[in-house]
Amino acid sequence: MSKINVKEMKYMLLDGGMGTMLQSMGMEMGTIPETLGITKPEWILDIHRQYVKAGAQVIYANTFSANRYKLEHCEYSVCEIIQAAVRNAKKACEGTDCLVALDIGPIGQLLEPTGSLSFEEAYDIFKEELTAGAKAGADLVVFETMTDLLEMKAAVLAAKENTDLPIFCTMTFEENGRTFTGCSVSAMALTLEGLGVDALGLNCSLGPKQVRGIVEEFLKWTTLPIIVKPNAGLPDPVTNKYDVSPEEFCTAMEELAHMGVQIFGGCCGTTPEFIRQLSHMLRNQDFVIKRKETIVPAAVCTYANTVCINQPRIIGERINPTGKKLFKEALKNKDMDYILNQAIEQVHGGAEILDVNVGLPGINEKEMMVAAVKAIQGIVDVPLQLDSTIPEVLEAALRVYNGKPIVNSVNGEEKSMEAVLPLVKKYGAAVVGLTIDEEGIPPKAKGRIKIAKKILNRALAMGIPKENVYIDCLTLTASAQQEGVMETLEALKYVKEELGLKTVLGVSNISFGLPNRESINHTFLTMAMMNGLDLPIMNPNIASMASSVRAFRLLKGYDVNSAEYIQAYKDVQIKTAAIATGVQKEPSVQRGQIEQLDLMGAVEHGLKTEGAKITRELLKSKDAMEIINHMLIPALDKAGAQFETGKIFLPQLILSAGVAQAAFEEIKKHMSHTNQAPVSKGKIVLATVKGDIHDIGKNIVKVLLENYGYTVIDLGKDVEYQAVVDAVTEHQAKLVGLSALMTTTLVSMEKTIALIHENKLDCKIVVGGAVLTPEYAKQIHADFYAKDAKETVDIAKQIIG
Amino acid sequence: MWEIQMNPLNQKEALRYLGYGQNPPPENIMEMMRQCEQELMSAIQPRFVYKIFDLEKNHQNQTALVNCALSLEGDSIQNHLQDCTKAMVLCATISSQVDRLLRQTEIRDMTKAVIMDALASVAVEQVCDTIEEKLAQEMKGWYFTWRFGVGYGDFPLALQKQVVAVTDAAKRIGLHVNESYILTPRKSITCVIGMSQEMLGKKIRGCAVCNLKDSCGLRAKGSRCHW
Repeated sequence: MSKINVKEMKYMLLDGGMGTMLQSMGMEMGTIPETLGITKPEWILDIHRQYVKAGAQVIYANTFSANRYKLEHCEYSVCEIIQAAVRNAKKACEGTDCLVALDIGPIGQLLEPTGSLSFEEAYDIFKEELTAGAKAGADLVVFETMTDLLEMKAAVLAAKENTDLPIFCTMTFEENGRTFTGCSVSAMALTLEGLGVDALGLNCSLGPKQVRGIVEEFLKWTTLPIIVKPNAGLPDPVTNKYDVSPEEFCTAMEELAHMGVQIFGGCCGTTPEFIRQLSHMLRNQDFVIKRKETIVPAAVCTYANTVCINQPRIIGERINPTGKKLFKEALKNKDMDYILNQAIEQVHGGAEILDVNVGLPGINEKEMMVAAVKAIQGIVDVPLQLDSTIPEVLEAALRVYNGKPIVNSVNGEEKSMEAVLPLVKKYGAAVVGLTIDEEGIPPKAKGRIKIAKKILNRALAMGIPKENVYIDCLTLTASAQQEGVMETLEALKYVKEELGLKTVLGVSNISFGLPNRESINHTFLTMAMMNGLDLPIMNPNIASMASSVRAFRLLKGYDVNSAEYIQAYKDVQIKTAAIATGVQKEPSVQRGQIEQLDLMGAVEHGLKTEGAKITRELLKSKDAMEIINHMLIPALDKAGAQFETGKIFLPQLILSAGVAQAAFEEIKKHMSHTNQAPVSKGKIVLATVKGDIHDIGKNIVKVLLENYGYTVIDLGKDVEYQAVVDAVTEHQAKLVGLSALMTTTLVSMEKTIALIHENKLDCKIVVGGAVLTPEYAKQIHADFYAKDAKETVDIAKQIIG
Repeated sequence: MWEIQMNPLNQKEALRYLGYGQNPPPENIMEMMRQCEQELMSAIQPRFVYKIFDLEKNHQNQTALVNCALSLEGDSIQNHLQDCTKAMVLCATISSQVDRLLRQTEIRDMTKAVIMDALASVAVEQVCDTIEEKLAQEMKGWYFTWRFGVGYGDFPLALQKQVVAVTDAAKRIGLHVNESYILTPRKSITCVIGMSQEMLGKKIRGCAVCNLKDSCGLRAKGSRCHW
């Protein structure tokens, strides 16, 4: 297969709309357009030929929706449809140089976490289409009309790993420069160019006049040829007609050509006449492509947030179990909420990138890493630095990451470079290079610079661009190797200034073994930034650390008009201790009573901070179980009783539970410090059943159960039947709670219950959810029906005690 | 097409969803509601798409949409469109960014999450109200029935896929349906609105045709979710 070298071509012309043409030919409503390749091949041939005749150099085979999900109820298979479609297109091209593109649109279901389709399933669906298309003889593949960058990534990986086809990618943007899911142009370009596609751009959604701003963004963020395949304006909701004429379309496209767009075409509402005029314009335009060379800035991104490494950026270090008992406990219990809380806290503290390390002996690190990456990127918008010593773990994380991440790390050892750099190249990531090799850490700056050069050269040789290599000159502890401090900084300065690379450094180690560590840390941080540090890895929740970075950016003039600094500190009184972020500002009305407030009162009034404080005091004189059984639980019981009698309502009940949760956190910390076994009344497995993604009810139940002292194994939403059985077995849970919100997912609930019974597990089942009734619960053989969270607690008490 | 301006959210309605009914909530809950509304407003991106079809009687003497793959199954929708000559299929969403905010809030603070969830439900209804008002202004002389939700009464939920397909809602507003016919983004609405140039009589709406009537907490307390 000859690669299409678009860069060498002056321009390339694609075809126009297919759906529009089929409708005008009288396609019946409800027909799957892709089946026409088999039932009415003459229609498809006719349309293709019209486009070839109009001057298209690439025509899209009629395969847009030919995926297993959309063809579920179709009489033809994915393979049959794609074969016929490619055959028709090739036939239409006979005797010309026109190429045939396998056209692949979105699957039609949203991926996790908004939808329920997993990345892995999406990959599989695309793989089936791609394998069929390549076999049928397509010349290239086009992924178009995508709005979800992760879905696009699954598609690109499927193409790369299963075919040799050149890859064109276009996504559909709104006028604000984002797709429906929030993906930005910069994120798309950084991610897909990194993955090694051949051309990228936009299609559908807008008319050619509205895409100017978006094209400008593309020009900034990619060196690849840019594709523009817009609609003929917008459709009328009643007549379904588009409002831009071929002439207007062509004029607008000509302007885009002068900006530097290289690949042209039309989407919805465009016809062969549009393409004919485009072809005429492109041929007779004696333009030389005026595109300036693009220098893509050093940057990493999520699908929605691009972080340029053009000034010091904080990498939060807290998602790492090293030296943290509670974190280790959370990993063992697969308690994702703990990790997510760490993520949110750091982002609130000022982290712009988060390091994610979930390595712990005895757990499946790969599985945990994938779960953590998926969960974290589902709730926070900062890029991730994937941190593991195991290449398989890194690769698993790189696959599912939605954007362009940093890999932490490679070092100067031969086997490290051999294992890690190919992954960095394949997935288009940035990488941290540690200046250490087989001989250890060189004591002098010179030695570290040498390793930095070695890593850089190896990366370049593999095709990893320079701007994606970040060097870590390694911080040694000042108490042990005082003379090493300046060596690190000297090496850093050289790497930054002479090698022209971005630099990264873990700063907290510097003060190990010394008193008043914070002071050493932020002084060192400031020194490092003065020497050119771009990416400090640190704890952003220590106010003085985050403020050093912000102050530095202000003083260096990065923070124009001090806007960011003022925004961060306008309401804040800097404390010397860690800032407790995310803590609710509590109403002042009750403040006066705090003097005589006890734990029960705090729970009743929903005062979280006070509840935690009182608990800390109580733990000095009282046993944990006594606090739980004689204060927390009676307080929760009281709130529960008030809820049942309509004196308080759901938000207040949860608020009280939240105070109990804060108290529990204190108790857990205390137990962990005093090396006592964690307190738990027993384990309960909770799941929102397969197919259902409404899990707020289940989450409410979880909060309440946890605050009664039960350990909840939360399997999340859309949970496989077998996963419930496995969890019950693994944790020997005595109670399982299942929720379903829709009539359509009650079936899944029934099946889950049946499988639990089939496996003869010694556990009781409680079910709940909006559409359930006690009668139905009985009918599907649940042991209990709970109408709300409070009732679930009553049932748990009855079963477990 | 026009853009939708979001009005302040109807807090009273959200409080009703939360079970407060006429009971005044404490000040701390109201304070949280104000915070939630603010956060929600910055995440909401209202989008909608609609198509209008003529109605005809098919050979089984059932009301049907002309030139449309969506079948109007069930007595309740048939009855709903009885006196209409056209019907509008409407899809609206407040975007996946709201789903994300809700997920994040569930981790941070469950109390706020519950309140925000209720407010988001209010928001998507308000978006539909705004669309209807605008359309009523644009189409002078037409009367609309109330919005008949897919899955309401005996109008099968399984038609979600067809509704999204005939309006091209996936491509136009990013609205999808999963295998269990759940709409994603979550805070979205799909419905059918009958249209007539004659005044329309009030149609039955309420608990009698509601799927949730046997398990409804509001109903058990003698309350209801509509007016």
